Amino acid sequence: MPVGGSTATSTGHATTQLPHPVHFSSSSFTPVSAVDRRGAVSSLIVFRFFSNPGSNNGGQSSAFTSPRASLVAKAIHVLGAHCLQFVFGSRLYSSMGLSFNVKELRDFFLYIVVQILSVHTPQQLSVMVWTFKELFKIGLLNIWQHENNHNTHRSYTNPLKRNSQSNSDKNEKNRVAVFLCKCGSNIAGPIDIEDLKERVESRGVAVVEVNDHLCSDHGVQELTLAIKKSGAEKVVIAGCTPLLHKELFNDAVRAAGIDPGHLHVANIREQCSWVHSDDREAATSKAATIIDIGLAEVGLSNPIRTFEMPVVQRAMVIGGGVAGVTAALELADQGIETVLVEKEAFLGGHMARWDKLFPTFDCSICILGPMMARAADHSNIRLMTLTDIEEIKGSTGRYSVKLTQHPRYVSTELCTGCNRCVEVCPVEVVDEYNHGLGKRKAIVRHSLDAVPIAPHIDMDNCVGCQSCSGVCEAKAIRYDDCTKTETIEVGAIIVATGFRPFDPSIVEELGYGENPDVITSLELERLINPSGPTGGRLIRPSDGSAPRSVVFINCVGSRTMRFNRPYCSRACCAEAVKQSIQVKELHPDCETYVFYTDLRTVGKGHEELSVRAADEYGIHFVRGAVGEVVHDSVKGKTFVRAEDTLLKRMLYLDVDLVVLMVGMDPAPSNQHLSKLLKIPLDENGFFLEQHPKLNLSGTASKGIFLAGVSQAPKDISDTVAHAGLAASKVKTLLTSSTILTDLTVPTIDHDLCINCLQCQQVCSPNAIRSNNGDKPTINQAACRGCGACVAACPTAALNLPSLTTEQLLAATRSAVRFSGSKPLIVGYLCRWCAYSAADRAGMTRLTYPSNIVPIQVPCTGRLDTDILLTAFEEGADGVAVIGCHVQDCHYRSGALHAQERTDNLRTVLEAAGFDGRRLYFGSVSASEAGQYAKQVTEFTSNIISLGPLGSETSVKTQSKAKMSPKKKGGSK
Amino acid sequence: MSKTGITVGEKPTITMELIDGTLKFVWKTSLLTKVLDYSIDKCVGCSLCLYCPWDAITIGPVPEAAAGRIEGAPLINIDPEICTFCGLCDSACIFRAFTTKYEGDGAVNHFNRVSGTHEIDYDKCAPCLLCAKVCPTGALEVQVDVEKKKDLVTYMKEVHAEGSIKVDEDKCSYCGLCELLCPEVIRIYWSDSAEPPEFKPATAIRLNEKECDYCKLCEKICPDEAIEVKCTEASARIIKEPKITGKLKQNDLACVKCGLCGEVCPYDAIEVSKPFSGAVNIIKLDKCDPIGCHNCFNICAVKAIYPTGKSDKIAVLDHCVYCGACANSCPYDVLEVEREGYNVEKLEEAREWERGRMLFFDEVVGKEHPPSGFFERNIILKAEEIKPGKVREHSAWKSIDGDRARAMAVAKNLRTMLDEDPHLNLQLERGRVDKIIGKLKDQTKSREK
Repeated sequence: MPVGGSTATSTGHATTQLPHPVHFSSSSFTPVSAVDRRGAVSSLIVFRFFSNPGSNNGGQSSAFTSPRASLVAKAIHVLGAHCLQFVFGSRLYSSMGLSFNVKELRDFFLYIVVQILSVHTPQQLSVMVWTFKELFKIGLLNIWQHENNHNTHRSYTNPLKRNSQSNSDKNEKNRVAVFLCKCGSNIAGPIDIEDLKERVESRGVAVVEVNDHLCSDHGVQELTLAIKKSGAEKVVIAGCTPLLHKELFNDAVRAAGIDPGHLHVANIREQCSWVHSDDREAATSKAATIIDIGLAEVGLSNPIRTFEMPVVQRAMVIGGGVAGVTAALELADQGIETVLVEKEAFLGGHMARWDKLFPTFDCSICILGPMMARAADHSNIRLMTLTDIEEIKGSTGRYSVKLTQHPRYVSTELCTGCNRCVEVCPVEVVDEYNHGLGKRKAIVRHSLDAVPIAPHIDMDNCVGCQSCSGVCEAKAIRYDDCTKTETIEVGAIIVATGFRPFDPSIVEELGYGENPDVITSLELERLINPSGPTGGRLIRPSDGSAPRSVVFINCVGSRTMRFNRPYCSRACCAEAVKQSIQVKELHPDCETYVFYTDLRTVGKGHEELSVRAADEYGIHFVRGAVGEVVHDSVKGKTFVRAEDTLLKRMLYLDVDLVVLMVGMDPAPSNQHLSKLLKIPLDENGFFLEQHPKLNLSGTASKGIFLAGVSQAPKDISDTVAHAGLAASKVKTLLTSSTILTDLTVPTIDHDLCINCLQCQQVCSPNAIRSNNGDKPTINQAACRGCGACVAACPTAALNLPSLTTEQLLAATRSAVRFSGSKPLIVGYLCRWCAYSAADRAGMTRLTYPSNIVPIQVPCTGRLDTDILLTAFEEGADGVAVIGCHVQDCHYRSGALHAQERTDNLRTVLEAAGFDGRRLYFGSVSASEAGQYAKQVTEFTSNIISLGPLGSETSVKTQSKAKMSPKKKGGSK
Repeated sequence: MSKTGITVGEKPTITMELIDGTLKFVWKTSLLTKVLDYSIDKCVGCSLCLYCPWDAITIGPVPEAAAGRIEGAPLINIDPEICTFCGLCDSACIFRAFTTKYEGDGAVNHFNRVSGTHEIDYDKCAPCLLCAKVCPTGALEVQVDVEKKKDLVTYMKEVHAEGSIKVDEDKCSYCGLCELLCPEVIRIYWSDSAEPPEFKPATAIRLNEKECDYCKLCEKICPDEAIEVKCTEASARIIKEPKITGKLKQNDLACVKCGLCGEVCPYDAIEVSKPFSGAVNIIKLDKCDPIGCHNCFNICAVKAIYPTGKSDKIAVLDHCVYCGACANSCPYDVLEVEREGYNVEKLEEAREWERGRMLFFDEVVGKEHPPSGFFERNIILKAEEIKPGKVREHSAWKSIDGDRARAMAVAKNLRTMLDEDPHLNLQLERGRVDKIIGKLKDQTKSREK
């Protein structure tokens, strides 16, 4: 997958490039004062008067009549004139460079008059002409460069046209500095950086710098220095996606004294150089357009209003398996109050059910048990079992979580763990803890190491005989226990929901569910576990006898497109090796086979274990797939039909026990939690990490972290490491007792407001409301800054300071005007899903046409018809609005409103003569990189087949014109 | 399934006693006493409690009891060793043959039970005498007062009336109001019981026309329009409307909610919904002998099954409660009782375990448990025989002198040696035992000397 390009500081690039010389404009010269100029002019006139050798009679009369004196006088005069000319000229040259105002124009003409007066000889004339030429050349260039420091869009129409209102002060404020990051060869490879730099400079940007790795320590330092030196007020950084390093650059510009609101990060890597590496010209051109958009947006930018919010000094861990318990203990040992929420009645998850772990054969419960016991008794951990999560509100640093705790019916404080209630309970039901092997009671205590020790009563099967309370000397049974609801405030959440084992009954040829001797790896683990249903005796479930031959089948439910599970579950190969050794230890004469596709024993000590298994224990490792497990139910025999691909022969084995190494499916609660927490899932149903290399534990939300298999399948060692990472990140978040929150609340102009309350209609958290018919007001705490109300307002009474309508319009115009690609498609991507998906497409190096120019919006609901129409107005051939799936919108209803709005606009466009297909509404989720590329490619080819903007209307008029002569002819 | 037992500590004691026709089972620990009473009289030998999840209840000699060959025997057998005293049988028994009681701290006595509903519309109810006489379980009690006719009719001058009076015995349901109104003219010959299919609690109704003055009050009071009175001539008189007062009381514990009262009630004043819905199927009609064998008719507690006297031999009436006693009593398995649905009477404060108890009711009506979603397998463990080894008896085990004393001295000596010389101890720690062994040898040598 991704080649090391983004983090290539260690490999390959040994030479560090010297920083490019800084190009300062001539406008950094000190301004010329008026006194200075007048002094120069008057001294020239005086000198001219006194040194005139005789203007009347052709150059001979002068105050000093001797010929030598006159020659000297002439020499002094010429030299002096030239010197003065030079001095005055250079001063004026610099004054021209600054700005053009009436005063300086007058000085310039005065200068010309003086020059003309002082010319006597042809040489002087030629010198004067030459001087003028040079001056004009340099002067014009300065005018050109100056124009681009204006911040109104009108200057973009004609670079030579000056804004008559501009003055030196205004130009100073709107000075922009652009920094191009080469990112090694990631950007500099597919894009011609020099050309790009020139293009940017030609836009009139005063400061354009190129750097190799802006995100490195060195790069950030240079960035800060350069900004300070340049005196720029606004910054555009062109490099990788803002989703990756925006925070870093925010800090850098803040250190340089600029509000981060005046920083725009233009993405010319993930959405340009990485996806258009096949066409250099197109990539460079698109990069220039992307930077133009950035310049347009930053030109109208507002400072970010931030306020400090206290971070709640409490963390929540969802899931009580090994990941959750590890994370909770890490946090609690640090002194952070932790709430550990578990939906089952006991901690431990899957690990508590296992017997011994690879590669050292540690007893699983022996290492997990003490951890669970510590967690249950820890003064900083509040353990809540049998608890479900109903609702999560709030944001980073202050989440409000509503929990429902189901009744246990046994008091955890009073129970002594004597087990008499479990012994006396008469009800026996199927034991789901043992995956269907054996029975359990209605009062449940799965294992004697369970934490908490108090059993819980399964009221779906209890008949109320009350024998348990009849034998409970501790009087711990509580029949009147009831469901409790509670709301807890936390600052950060760790999601450790684990996995659910794949159910192999859908793999029909293996016979699971029909043949009792086909068991899963987890069931085998329970059979060999001394605390399991057979007390540690490995028996065939069909007749209770010891097996004489066992077959392990790897990759059941993993690495297969047949069941939509293309991923590898990582831990099963090592588990197969371990379990086959354990089988041999229990029954040394048992013939053991392991059928594998690859033996992925990658962990520390795993490979050695697999070699031991083959050599010492004589386990047969066969590379091949099992085609069928044949069951003769009459005789109670099982046969395995398989292929040995190394020896190239078919096998038909008579076996006593078949063990399926089942893969890990995502936990079924992930779907529901994803919606509650508003973090996306990846294509396989596990939670999506923020970055597959740099941030395995973070999510799209800054306060929610992942631990363990909830993010992706892994073994216990990796799970514990991952949980530690999550805990560490939570510690960091919580130890800064306040966080700066961007206040992205819209502004409302009540004078423009007509009280139509359309904003109230579209706001999903009901943050903008009208009370008793007054004009609507905004509830800052509830507002999530999506901008849907701004788009819905018909009179533009609402605006969003972090991304004003004007900024979006300016961005749209830049996108269309300066793009060289034809056809041109303006793409509006929502920050949460579509933009992430487009970045992912870049990370996975997919390619799609470069015609689409991306503009990031917080939510597609932010786009109003004005913006979309402006794109067409400027000449875009197609407009793509791509956001979250409507039911998964990060802001709940924004995508739905966007869809409705684009549908309505499409109808109107059709009526106006446009082809409605030019306006596209697409949906992708953050992990669907392929979908994004596919949708963009399809839309581009559609637009190409539709033709340029307006071609559909000309076709219509043409056909009309053709029709009318015929008509006339016909009527005759 | 056998009940699991307590291995350590106080075990519950279980006793069984027969007191006054009731079998009393008691499960007792120091914390809780569970009492299950089974009334032999009330039990009808149906099959509702036979679905006991632990198979603690088996059917008893129902055909023999139905035939009258035995008397006073319990119609089901309860095994107190298996019984868990859960009270599910009590919840299912519509005849209230069981009573369960829990005594102790935190003991709960509320359980939902299968039950129908019985509603009396007191506006419609006259009351009359019929339903109380018809009720097969004697659950209805009525007290009726009707104003007498002689008080209602006053003649101005002389007593003179001509006419005719007739009663249609088929229409008459024997509500008894006319007799109460005018006992001089009307006489009902009451019988001891009402039998299927008509459930008429009397054999005949006779009129003494000589006494009748054709006031027509009986015609008005009759709900079945069974009396026809024609008055051709009558002297001046004032006739007042009779008032009927009284109260009908239903004993909820005795009432099975069969609905027979509702069917016979001439005023439609009673509405009953039955505890079970279902059907009774006659599956082996040829085996049935309705003349020689009366088992099902005898056993039925609500008298819902009867011999028709025709070719269909037996018929089942609408108020059958589908208890299944008839099927149990039949020696030839002629009948099959199916139950489809049940109504549950929810007592106040229903507990969470009612979900689990519902599974039992579902079994009683033949519904299957929902699948667990797991591949269920039972564990078959062959018992491992551990043969204890024989311990040899040796007198020397008990002695403290002789060899034992010598060995103890050697140990003491060794310990003292190590105590006195720390270097030696260190050598031992390091695994260099040669010095110690050398020293021991020296000691033995010096002793020998």
